[in-house]
Amino acid sequence: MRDARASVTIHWASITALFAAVVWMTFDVAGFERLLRLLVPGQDVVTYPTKALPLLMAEQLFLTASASGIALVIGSALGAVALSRVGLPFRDLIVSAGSLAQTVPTVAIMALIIPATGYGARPVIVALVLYSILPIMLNVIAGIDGVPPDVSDAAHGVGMSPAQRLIWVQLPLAMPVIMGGIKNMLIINVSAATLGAVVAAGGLGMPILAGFHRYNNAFILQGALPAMALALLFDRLLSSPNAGATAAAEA
Amino acid sequence: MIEITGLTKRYGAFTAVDDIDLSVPEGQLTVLLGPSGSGKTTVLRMVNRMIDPTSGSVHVNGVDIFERRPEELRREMGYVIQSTGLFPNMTIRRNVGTVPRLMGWDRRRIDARVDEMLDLVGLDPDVYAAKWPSQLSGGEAQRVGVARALAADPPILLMDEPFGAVDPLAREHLQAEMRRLQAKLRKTILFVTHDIDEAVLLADRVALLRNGRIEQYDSPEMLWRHPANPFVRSFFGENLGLRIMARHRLSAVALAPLDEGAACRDAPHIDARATLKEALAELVGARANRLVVCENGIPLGTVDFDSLVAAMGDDLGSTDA
Amino acid sequence: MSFVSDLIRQRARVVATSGALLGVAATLAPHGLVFRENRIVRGEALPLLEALGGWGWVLLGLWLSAAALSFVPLPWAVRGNIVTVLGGLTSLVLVWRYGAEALRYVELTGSIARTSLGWAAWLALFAAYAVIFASTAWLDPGPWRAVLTYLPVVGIIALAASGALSEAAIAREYANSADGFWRELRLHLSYVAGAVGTGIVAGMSLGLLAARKRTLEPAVFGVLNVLQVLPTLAFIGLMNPILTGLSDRIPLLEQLGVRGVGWAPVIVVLSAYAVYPIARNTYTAIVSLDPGVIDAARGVGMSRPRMFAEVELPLALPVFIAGVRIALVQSTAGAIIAGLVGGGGLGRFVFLGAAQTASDLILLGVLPIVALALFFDRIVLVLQRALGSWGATA
Repeated sequence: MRDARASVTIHWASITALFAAVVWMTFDVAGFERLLRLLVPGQDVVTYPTKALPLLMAEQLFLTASASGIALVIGSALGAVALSRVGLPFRDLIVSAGSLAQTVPTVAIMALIIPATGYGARPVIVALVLYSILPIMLNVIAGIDGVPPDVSDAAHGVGMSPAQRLIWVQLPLAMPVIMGGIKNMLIINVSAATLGAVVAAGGLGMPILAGFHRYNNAFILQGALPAMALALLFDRLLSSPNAGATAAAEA
Repeated sequence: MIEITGLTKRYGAFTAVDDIDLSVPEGQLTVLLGPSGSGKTTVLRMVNRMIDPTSGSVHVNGVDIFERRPEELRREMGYVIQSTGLFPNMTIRRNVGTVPRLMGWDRRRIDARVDEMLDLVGLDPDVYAAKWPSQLSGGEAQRVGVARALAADPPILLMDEPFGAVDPLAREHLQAEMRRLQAKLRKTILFVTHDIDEAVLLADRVALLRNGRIEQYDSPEMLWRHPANPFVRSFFGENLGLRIMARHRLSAVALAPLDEGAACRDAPHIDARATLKEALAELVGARANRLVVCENGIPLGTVDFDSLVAAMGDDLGSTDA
Repeated sequence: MSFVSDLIRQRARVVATSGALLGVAATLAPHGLVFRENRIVRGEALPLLEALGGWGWVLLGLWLSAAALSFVPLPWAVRGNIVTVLGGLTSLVLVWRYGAEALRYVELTGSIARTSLGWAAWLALFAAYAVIFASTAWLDPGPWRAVLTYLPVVGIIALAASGALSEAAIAREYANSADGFWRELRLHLSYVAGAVGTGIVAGMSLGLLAARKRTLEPAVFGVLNVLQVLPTLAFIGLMNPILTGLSDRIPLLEQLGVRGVGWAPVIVVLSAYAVYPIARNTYTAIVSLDPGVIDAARGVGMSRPRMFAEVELPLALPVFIAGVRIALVQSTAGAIIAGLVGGGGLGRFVFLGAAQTASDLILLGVLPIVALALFFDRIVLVLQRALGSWGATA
């Protein structure tokens, strides 16, 4: 019991700390610069000159959020179709094609659709949406499938309509699995949005790439540290505060 | 023979087994009976050194078990548990042959022995040897568990609620098989159960445990006739007499003489291999005053209510399987 | 039993027919083949029906017969054989004629001309995949089904090997980089091997540690989870100053060629990602061992090492291998990043292609990555199942 409370405390403390870190690195230009000088001694220019961090962070969030949002809507809708009578026959194909599609690196999709979309944010968003739809779909399917049949049956038995059953019983029970899928998608998308710099989409990958090209480690850290903090923040926000404690309790 | 003296196991402040003395006679089946948490499994597991006692000693045929390497000791004691513990990654043949393999027998001898053991527990080796545990029913798996325990012909068997997880019908079969096997093999068996019927049916002697102590250690008949204290009496309940009747067969009872010309065909009759309990049920069921006792269609004598009562008298011996 | 399998077959028929109709649509859709006079220009796209001439009609015929035959009340096995073969034929005809058209276009326009597959052609290939996927469900599992399923793959490889595709745009990109391709492929594989090798050693140790000392479990997986979550580019960027610093201070590392860019950060990052699935599965495998089985193993008198070798290891192995499988597939795709930080590998083609807007060069990198990932996935899955079948009807 005390373990559970401790892990909840740690959970919220780490969220607060990560959030503070993201905000600080983004907005306290002078402070972050001091840190970078400390980490990378002997570097004259430590601040990426092309774009300011708040802008880069905004781009990063925009890429991640828009792609994830669109994918979530389309993925859930398609998941619902796959769960319906019409979609039922296609389920195995979706799962199989889904695992096949997951082997294609996201950055490759971005690169491949440039002829259609041009450079910038668009190829990143389209690629991430394409890449994220299937995992969301699969998690919706797996989540609903994972609801114990006797629970669904009982809901049927007490006189719920199929829609009521879905909303009041199946969805809430499937939520942990679906949330797990959303978490994975967000983390993949933060990571992939960083790579969007390759196709000139902006975001925190820009200073990292510039750092590699100009042999400037301060630039690299300027993109890498906020990107890491952001990814970890998303991970913590979408994890159950009790995950650690339940695992320990099971053991 | 297993000699347990002053055996104690404490977990922190909790005493699971409290200074137990118990002597398990050679060739007999001794049941450790008791409610859950009474310490019966702990006693069993200290005998093959799965658990180390806090104090006390266990001697097997005069040898202190703590002088022995645990692995070797265990190979000389067949071990059967409720969950069967069959190795899912091995065929039935390999499962049954485990201990002989550990003891370094050669393959042909192991194979022959496995066939013999499967036959012994009533499973056709040609059908079952090549199967996998996942392909067996609960009852079959438990038979294989017994076969595995017997494979290296250990003088001692330790059985921890072996039939607790199978369905009632299969359990009855297994218990009957167990009686048949024990009549044939005469192993020294320590058998843990919380099922009173099972204990009374199988045991030569029962040790009734409560809170880590032995309340009484005796034959079921003695437990019935002379319970040591109110706990023993209430634990076994009012039905104990009937349960004891299920231990004895008509063939061991003095029968009344036959009437002139009595035959097995028309009169109410019963097989000589039936138990006293079955005879009682038949008397009531047939609304008869007496039954003709038959063996292979030949009448041997008669049994009536009085002779059943007489058979349950003070001189009632131990089981005759 | 037969009712259920009949239902499954009925459903597969819906998929097969839809796949075939998708194939029809893809044959008629605008971006079948893309013809360009050189590598840079946009070029002209034609539907497959037009681009492949008479063979376009053959293709259309194949799709329509696949759709129709799914409904002819022949025995399921017969239908399965025919439709699977038809599905395979569509992909083979498409690829073979693509090679031929590419050659014709080069002869017509000059040697710098390029012919690529448009999105409609890729859609057609997916449709063939769907048809084969569905129609093989009518066949009994076994070697024959496996042969039929993978026949198109073998066929396409054979076509490529025979030179029939030599003027296809990807082949041209391949020819341009010639031995460079194989060097990068070897490099790519060595990254995967290095990462998965490290992942196995570290992941197994950490997984076992967490399983043996349960109090350490949250700490071990907490740290591994953090590593798992870090964005690839940020992680590899972070390694740059760290590895540069280490290499400056430790001469041995410098002699080994450890630098902030190149192979070293790639191996570090991919290894860190590979540890998590392997450690997680090792832990799960050990923790979920049936306590009754372990008890029995002790009870029959197995020694500790024997117990590990005969019971714990075999029972844990399939779950462990599943973890390795995840790590393998993940690393194969992940190693693409090496191309961005001077580490080479197949990613080089991808990033080079991205910079030049040369889709075919990107594909030269991507297709082998996907093929390798699928190959690893299949092979290790077969191994995993073989190790863990134990009489289960698989």
